[in-house]
Amino acid sequence: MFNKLKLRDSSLDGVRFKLSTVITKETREKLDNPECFLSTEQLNLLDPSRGLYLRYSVSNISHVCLDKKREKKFFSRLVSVVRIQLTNGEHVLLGFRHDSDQSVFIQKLEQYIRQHKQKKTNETSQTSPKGVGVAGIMQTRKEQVQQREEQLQNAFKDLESLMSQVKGLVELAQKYQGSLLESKVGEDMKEVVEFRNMAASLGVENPVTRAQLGGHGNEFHRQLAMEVYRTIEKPLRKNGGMMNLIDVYCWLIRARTTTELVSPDDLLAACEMFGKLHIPIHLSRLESGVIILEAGFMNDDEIAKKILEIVQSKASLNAVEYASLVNIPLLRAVSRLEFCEQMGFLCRDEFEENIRFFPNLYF
Amino acid sequence: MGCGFSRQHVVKTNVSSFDRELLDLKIQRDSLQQYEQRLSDSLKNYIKLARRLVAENQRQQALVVLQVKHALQKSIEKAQNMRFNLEQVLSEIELKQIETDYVLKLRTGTKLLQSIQKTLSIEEIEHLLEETKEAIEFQNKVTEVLGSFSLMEIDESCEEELEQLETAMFPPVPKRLEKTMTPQVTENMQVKSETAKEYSKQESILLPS
Amino acid sequence: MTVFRYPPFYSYPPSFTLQPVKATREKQLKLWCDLVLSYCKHYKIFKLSVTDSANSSLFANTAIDRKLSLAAVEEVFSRLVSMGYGEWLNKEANVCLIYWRRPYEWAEIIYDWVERSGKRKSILTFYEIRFSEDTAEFEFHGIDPELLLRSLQVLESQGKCAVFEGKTNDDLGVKFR
Repeated sequence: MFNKLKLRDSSLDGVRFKLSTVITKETREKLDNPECFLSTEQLNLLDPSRGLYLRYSVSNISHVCLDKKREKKFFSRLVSVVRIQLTNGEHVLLGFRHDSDQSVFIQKLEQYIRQHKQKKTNETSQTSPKGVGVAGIMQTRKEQVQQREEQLQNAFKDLESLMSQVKGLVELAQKYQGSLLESKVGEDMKEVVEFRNMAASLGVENPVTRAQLGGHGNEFHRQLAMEVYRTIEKPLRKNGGMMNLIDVYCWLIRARTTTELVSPDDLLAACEMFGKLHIPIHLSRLESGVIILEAGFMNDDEIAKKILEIVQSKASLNAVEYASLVNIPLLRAVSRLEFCEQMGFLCRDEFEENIRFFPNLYF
Repeated sequence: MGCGFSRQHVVKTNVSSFDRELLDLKIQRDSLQQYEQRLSDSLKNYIKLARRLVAENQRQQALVVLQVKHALQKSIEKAQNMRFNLEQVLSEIELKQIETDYVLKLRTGTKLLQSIQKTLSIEEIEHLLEETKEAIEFQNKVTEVLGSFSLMEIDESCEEELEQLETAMFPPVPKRLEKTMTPQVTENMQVKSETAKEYSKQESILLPS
Repeated sequence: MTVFRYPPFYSYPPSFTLQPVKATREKQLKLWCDLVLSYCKHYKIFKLSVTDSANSSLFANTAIDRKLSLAAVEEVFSRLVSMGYGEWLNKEANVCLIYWRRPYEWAEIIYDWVERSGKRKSILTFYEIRFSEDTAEFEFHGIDPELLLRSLQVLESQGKCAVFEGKTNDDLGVKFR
């Protein structure tokens, strides 16, 4: 039985959607041009021609989802169906005319359902008897934490959709940045500045320093390399001639009196120029993926040759022996020996937890 | 037309019930052999044991061991006999197989011969031989007739020319050459031959005999 | 029987550690496989147990006090099997047939002997082939029965013989065409 209800809440804010089908427990008839009206409190289903109304209170709705099983073909178009589950166990199926309406509807309805739930939980927590001792306090704490978590989750959900939209923008900005750098600096300064500001606000790399020093930033890296050397020389020596690149980065940032930050990529590029600039620091990548800076002129091949010489004269070599011979820390000795092994110059011999290295006679 | 490759024609070897029984016999022979081997191995051990007991001066025990050894030897002999019999049987079977095979082949061979002989009769052969003989005689006559007829006449002048050629190429023994030689030359030759004789005399005196 | 002479890499300590570097490890495994095959050929060993051989002098060199770990031994065996030089007889017990001659090679040798000794069109038992005095000077004397079966099956597939059981016996025999 349908109740003819007046649209009491026509003054309420809500959204109207055009539907293609409505299926509830009561009706399986096809309705002509059904519509639904969603507000924060209610969901109304209307048939304009017959004036039938069905009203559901949002607080009675437990959840809403896409019913993928029931994607049907209506009038030679695929219509996906939204399933609304009520707290009394019944469900309502709505088919939307437009797909975009459907996602908006689901979003909004979910939001309203959440709000109602929160209200409920607030009420229940308030109505629960206070002062039942420690247990009561713990209970309220728990509920508060739960609420906060839910709020955060919801907040991040919105953020996620925002992020996906921003991603596209950032890509666009980067594309234009590239084309900008190629074009001559100086022309259309206003536009360029404006664009740079926009790009900066989006979190794109600050292109200012690079553009100042010429198109490709080579000079910039060179000067940065010199700066790194100046900053790092003493700490490197104190650390036994070996430092993690992350630590180097921190030192650099701290040492820079200006607020101009350097990106880690720039630091890496600068470090890779040490060889060209005859700076006595050597960048090496360990097997674990860690990047370290080592003091002294060191070529990978030279190290390998020296190790091979030592091993051949001594028949076999231990990491400890090598470390004491060349006066380097033990870890570095191990990494160098393993590097030689990877190159195929050495073979390992493991015996009762001791590892010795022999010249590779297999090749 | 144009198929990939023909299926390999693998002939399956048929194993008859007879084959299986024969295999049983052979397996029996093998197990007898293995049994013999086992017995002779333990025989060796017993001999060693007996020796040791004698060395340790345990006569009674050594006797017992020797008795066991004798029994073992008898068993080995029996087993050997059995195996020998089996081998005999097996070789007989093999021989009989070959014989039957031989007879069968002989039978087929004779049949083959008979079928070939059916194509010819003896009368035909005799007739054929006569014809061949006549043909050969005729052929001989033809050759004779052809051989006796000669178109060419041998010229006498040709024979003289031939003799002259022969003398020119092969001259006779030089008796005339002696008369052309001068007397001086003869004397020198004689003197030389005389001095040569003296030298040879002197040599014979000087050289030890 | 003469003592087997081990190749030089057997006295090289790193040979007994499974090398982490792929290229070196490949070389190492190949040398170990070759050693297993030549060792088995020398001592006429047709099958090996993984656990037993791991403790034997095949994989342990007492002179340099090194031995190949069980994992490394298992790696050697799997390499042998994958290259076709071995076959697992019993995976649980880790017993492996070692093909220092492959079954088709054995098949050729055995068939050659059968033809030369006039054993064609006759029936032979497996025991006869393996242990009779006729075969004493041939390489397949004392061959493992499983391996013999596989070799004869190769001949069977070529139509040269048929392997069968006796009527009352489970033991196997072979009839040559």
